[in-house]
Amino acid sequence: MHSGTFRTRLIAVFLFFFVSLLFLALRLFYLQVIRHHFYYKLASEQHTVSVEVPPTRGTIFDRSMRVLAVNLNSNSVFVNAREVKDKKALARTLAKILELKESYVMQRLARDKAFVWIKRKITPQEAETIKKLKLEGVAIIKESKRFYPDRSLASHVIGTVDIDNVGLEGLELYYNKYLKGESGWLISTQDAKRKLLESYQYEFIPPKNGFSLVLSIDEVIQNIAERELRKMYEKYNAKGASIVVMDPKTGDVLALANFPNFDLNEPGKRPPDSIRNRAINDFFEPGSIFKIVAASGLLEEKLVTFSTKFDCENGQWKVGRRILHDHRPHGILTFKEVIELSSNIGTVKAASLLGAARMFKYLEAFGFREKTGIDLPGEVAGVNRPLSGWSKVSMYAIPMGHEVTSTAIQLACAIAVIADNGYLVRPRVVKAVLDDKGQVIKEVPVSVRRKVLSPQTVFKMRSILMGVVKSGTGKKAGMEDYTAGGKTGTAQKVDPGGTYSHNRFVGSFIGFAPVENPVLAVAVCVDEPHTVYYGGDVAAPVFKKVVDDSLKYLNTQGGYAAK
Amino acid sequence: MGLFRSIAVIAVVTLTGLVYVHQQVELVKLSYSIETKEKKLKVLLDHKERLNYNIDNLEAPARLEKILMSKNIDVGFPGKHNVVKIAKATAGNAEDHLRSSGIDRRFNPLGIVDFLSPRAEAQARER
Repeated sequence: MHSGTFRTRLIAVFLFFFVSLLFLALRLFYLQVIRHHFYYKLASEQHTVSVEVPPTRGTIFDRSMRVLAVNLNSNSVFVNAREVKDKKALARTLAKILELKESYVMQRLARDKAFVWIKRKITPQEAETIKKLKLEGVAIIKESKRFYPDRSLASHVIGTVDIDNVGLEGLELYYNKYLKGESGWLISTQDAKRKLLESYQYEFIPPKNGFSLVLSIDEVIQNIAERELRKMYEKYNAKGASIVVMDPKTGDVLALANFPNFDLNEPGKRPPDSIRNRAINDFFEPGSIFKIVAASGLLEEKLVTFSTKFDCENGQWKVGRRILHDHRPHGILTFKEVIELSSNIGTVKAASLLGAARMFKYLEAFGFREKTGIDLPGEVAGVNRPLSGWSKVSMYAIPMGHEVTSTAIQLACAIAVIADNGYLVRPRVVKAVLDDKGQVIKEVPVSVRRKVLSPQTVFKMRSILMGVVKSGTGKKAGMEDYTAGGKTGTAQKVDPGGTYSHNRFVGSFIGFAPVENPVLAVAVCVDEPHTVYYGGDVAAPVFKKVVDDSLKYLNTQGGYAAK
Repeated sequence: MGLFRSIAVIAVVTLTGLVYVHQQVELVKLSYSIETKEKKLKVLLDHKERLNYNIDNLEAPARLEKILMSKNIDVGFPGKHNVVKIAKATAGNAEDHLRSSGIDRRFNPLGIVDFLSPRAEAQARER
């Protein structure tokens, strides 16, 4: 009887466990076989992660491979707003450290999101402070940020990028498609703490880093140009100033500077009037500088010789209802002297031999009705009417540089025609594009736009312009060690009422050196200098100092040898 | 016999399972180790880039000029008479010289018995 009861209980227990296990097995079968796909997908979504691998933006080098713009990792702060209990206290702390408004931080924390930016690309000191505090819900990640080691050097040429490293101005914008690169992708597994498990990597598509640019800009010559331009800008309390230094043979822009300028590392703090690239954006009436166009045309057409005489009416000449003035009275001058001494009356009388049609032809040939094609964004061509738009009095204004407009870069290219045996070249800022291994993937070729003057005319013009520097209005451009040729210009600006101003001028000087074998062509333009405003007084000395130092520097680099 | 076989099969399966689990654990540990080292490498590379940037910053011509001016050191470029150009050397490197002179050491199969006889060797006199 006892054994029967024991056997029954044993069977009962066995049946209990058997049924339980059977139930578990069936449940397992249901979860792992029937619902396999569903749970596999769920787990996959949780554990598989696609991570975008950002590319490194290309570096910008000067012509000697010195770094002008580079990317470094920077810290950015974000918050998981859902994890933050005391938002007010956190907002107060973060606002203090990151120099933000507390209301702004509160607004960010109020968002019910797991990822909210607080401030991107902060300083290392701010990042260190936040890390030490170990604030709830706050984390720091690395982002790539653009840095410029020379700060404000060539700021208008290099340009700026936005917070996402997309080019906004200058070369950063113009060559953005080369510089930006392409993101890569990493598809991998992550654990419960969102750590990537490299051993379970499914796929890795490496990023294509951005290409680098090698500029024609020379860091040393750029610095020389900026130093001298700044001194003059501050001395004469000018509204603005520009300088362009070019190799006339290749069109390489060795320096391009404007004042006011700004620190590329702090673009948010720059004053509004420092933003634009005046050398290519601002056009103005060039004044007497433009006489080189009429003079070149007259010599090319063989209408005058050096000794052809013109009566400069002692500085005042009535033509119809207009009275033309010279800044100094002259009597009879030779053609060479007319240009050297910059006589308006003599120039207009000489240009009348050229006629409107040929004057227009040379105006066009020198490139004043088109953009130069420089590889920078925002270039303007100026406003110059077609021949059909000229009035009866245009030939009394245009030869002396009124009723026409030009930019500083157009003036540099124009003087480069005389420096380069009569050819108009396209200025270039970028010489080559490199990949991230330093291999050249694209070279920007030297581009000659057209032939403007014959070698004989060039020789004569060089001689005349050398006379301007030796004994004419450009004496302050003369150097001890090197010969130079050039032309001064002092143009009245137009007042809002449409009349020429008596106290607002643009003083300019364009020139080249050395005369026998020009290596540099330079244009210096000063907007509203005070109290002195003549081009020969404000711009010519800048030319002298920049060219003198630049030629000496080039001499030490195995470049040009002095006379 | 049947029982022995069953036990053997179970043992093999269990062992295989253990090895597999051990392998996966090691893979995960390796992943963490790679991640740690990659982070370290990144930090070092970042540091190197930053140091290079600091060098470029320190070498900026405007900065150097400012320092020199503040110390009243007037530095200018040398004039035309102060620069003397020296022609580049036409000789190649030392090995080229040696090869062309014919006195470079060629392989000597009997060189292995050199140790048997003393060699005359020029020695630099210590100063």
